[in-house]
Amino acid sequence: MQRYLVSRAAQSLVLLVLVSMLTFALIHAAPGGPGILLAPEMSGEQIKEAARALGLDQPLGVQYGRWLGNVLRGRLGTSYGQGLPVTRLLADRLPATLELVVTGLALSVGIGVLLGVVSALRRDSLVDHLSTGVAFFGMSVPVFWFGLMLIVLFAVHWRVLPSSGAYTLGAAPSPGDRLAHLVLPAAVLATANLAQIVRYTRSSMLEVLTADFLRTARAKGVAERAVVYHHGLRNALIPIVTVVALSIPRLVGGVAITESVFAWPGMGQLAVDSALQRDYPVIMGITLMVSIVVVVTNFLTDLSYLVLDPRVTIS
Amino acid sequence: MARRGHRVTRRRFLTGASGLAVAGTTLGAGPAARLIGPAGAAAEEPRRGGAFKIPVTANVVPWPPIGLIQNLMVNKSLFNGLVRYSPVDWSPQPDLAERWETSKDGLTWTFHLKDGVRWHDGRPFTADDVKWTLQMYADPKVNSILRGNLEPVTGIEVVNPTTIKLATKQPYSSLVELLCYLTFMLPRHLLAGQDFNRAKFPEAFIRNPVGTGPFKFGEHVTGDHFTVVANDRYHEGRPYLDSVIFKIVRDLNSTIVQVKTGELDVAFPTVAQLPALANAPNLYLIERGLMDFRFFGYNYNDPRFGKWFHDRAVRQAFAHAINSKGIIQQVTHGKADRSNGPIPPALKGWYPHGAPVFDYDPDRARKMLGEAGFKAGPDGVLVKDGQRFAFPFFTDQGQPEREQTALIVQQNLRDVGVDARLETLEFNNYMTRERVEHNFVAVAFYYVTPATPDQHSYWQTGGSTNEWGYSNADVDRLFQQGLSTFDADKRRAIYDRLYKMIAEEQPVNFIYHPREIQALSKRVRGWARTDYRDALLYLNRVWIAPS
Repeated sequence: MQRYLVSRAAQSLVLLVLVSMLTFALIHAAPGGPGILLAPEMSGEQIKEAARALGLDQPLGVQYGRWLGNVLRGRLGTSYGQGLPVTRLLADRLPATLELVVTGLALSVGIGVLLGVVSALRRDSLVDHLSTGVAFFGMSVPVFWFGLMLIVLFAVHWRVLPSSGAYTLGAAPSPGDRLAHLVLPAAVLATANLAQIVRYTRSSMLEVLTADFLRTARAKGVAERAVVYHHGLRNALIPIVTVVALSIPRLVGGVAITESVFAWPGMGQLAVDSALQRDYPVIMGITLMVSIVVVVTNFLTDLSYLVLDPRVTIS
Repeated sequence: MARRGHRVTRRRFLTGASGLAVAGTTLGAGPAARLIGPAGAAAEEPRRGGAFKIPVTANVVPWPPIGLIQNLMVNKSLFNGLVRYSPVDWSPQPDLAERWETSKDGLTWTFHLKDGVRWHDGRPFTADDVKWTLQMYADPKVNSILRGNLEPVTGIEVVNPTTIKLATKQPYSSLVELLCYLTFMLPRHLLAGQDFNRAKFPEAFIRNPVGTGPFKFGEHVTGDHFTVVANDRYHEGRPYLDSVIFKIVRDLNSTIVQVKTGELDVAFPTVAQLPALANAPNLYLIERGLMDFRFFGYNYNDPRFGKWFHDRAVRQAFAHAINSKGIIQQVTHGKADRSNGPIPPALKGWYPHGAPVFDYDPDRARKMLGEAGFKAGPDGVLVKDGQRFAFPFFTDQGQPEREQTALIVQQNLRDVGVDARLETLEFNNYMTRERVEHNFVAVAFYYVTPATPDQHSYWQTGGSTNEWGYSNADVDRLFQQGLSTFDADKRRAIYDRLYKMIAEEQPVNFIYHPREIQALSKRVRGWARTDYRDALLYLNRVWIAPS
């Protein structure tokens, strides 16, 4: 076990360095420089001077080395555009994004697994067709359009929910207000994520339901409920957990559009802004953060297999 | 004195001024006339209280040297300049300076500051703050959009705490107009001695900015909002509003929704979004003129095509080829003004009435190009000296109005045998190609200019924002005459002649002047009748009526 942990950690570290190198090379290869240097008021000479002051005239390798050195000393640098430490910007934004992603994930897993199980049990029933429809809708509807439609219906037409933001500006913070603001963006995120979970749960369950051990369980008189949930779902969980784990990076990465439509003050907006503005330190900080999230979730997923299926061992 | 000025050697004058300074129309200027008077409710007693909510598109950094629209919007509530644009005709008005005069030789400006003005932290505002601020903006080590504007200033002398003198090396009649542009005064006692080199910002200050303005810093939640609260000791009296909330809403469609639901008090829709606002009973829709010109511009130094662009007949032929009227109809739905040059009709005091406007006339364009020695090749594209008139031109991505304009220009030019192929570049990429590398043949782009007729940085030989490399000795001479003339009538006569010459010259092809649309809550009173950026200079007069 110890050896496994050490080798996983080493692999993860190498992966993180590779990702950061690739990102660094890509963002510098993108045409155009940092937006802070490109105000329409600045002349060409002034732009060049400022780029020199930021060290952008150095060879790419030197710039990367400098960045890596700072990261090892716990410094992510200062945003070009906002003049604040990247760590502070991330710390400001990450909680809101996590709140949205975790809610969206919980909703999509809860509803997705339930729909998947039910449609596997009642194959070709109305419920099965409906859940296929929901999955199809979630998979194909563009997030920004769905978000705007929900806003138009719930905020403009019926006026039951706020259209944007994380809380009512100027009002005293309250859990109810927070929840009201969370509903629509979380619903959008969950709908998009739901499809895969429903489909995977359904097919995984279908496979397990025809397995011999279920027939045995029924034969020895186990109640149908326990057959399905204890013996069936548990054995179907491994592919489902994998899909859910794979969806986390996608959620964290894809939350940007949802955040933009709902003006949710999360990291996604920061990522988009800094990419458009070529705010290199912020882009690198976000990439590092998201890579760590992905690496850690993958690791936890692998560990969860041990719990879910005692037959899995670490070699 | 005179220390700082000598370090600023580069030919930069209006660099800073090319940015976002805008001025609006007053009532009676065409379409604006049908629109509201936010002040129309003369009988009403202004009411104190409430929050005014306005959208910004990105995080705010209240550090005036760096510009950018979301920052300067907030800066206008926190800080004051020495002078500011009038909401009626953009003429320079007192702000922290109550009056000013120029010496006989035109080389010294004396500004008399208002007495008793205090910073938000209670310390008195003095001429020393002015001197420190102007020197910082002009410091070549500071990443400042205002450096170019301050280039003519060669000396700053504090006479006493409420009097300051600015010296220029040559008479500079537009100086006070340029000082209206975003030149916000900063507190020396909080900033002096800090290092702004290497594009550094003063972190403590941007976390808790201190100004003299009608509003004080309240709260900043990055990615969400920036709030300023009423300054009880504001030198013009406490503002009516309790607070102004600059709310970050990235998506323009979302701002439209929010202004309809009342979550915002104002939004700035594009023409495409107007149908969504057509039946909003709680909103005024207002149009205002802008200091903004859209153009098709040439690179006079291009090794292959520059020589052809130097021929005025070719440029005039292009002016006849481009269907500006059609563009205004199709792209802006008529919400723009026909252009005879870089000065919009909205700048009424300086608009050159009677300057030539080139009508859409493709036949005439073809004839003029023929006379200039071009002959149609086998594929219909014009040829001269064995070279085809075929080149790429750039515009920036993501601005539907500019992209559509460029597409129509492409078609119009093709109709007269010029194969100009549009390439749309992402904004940062565009700026790098055009501004840093000068690597372009032609562009369809825009400039937002300061509210002054002195646009010499754009059109004078070697001017700092003359990205085209245009050069004309007569134009240069008239700009210099304008600068050394202080008498208003004589100045007007010079600029009138100058802009008629520019209209004739077509250094770029002027296409149109856009107008801004404001969707304003009907509860808002006292909102200045000008473009929103300048209306923000007068936020202390805004109040909100009970619903």
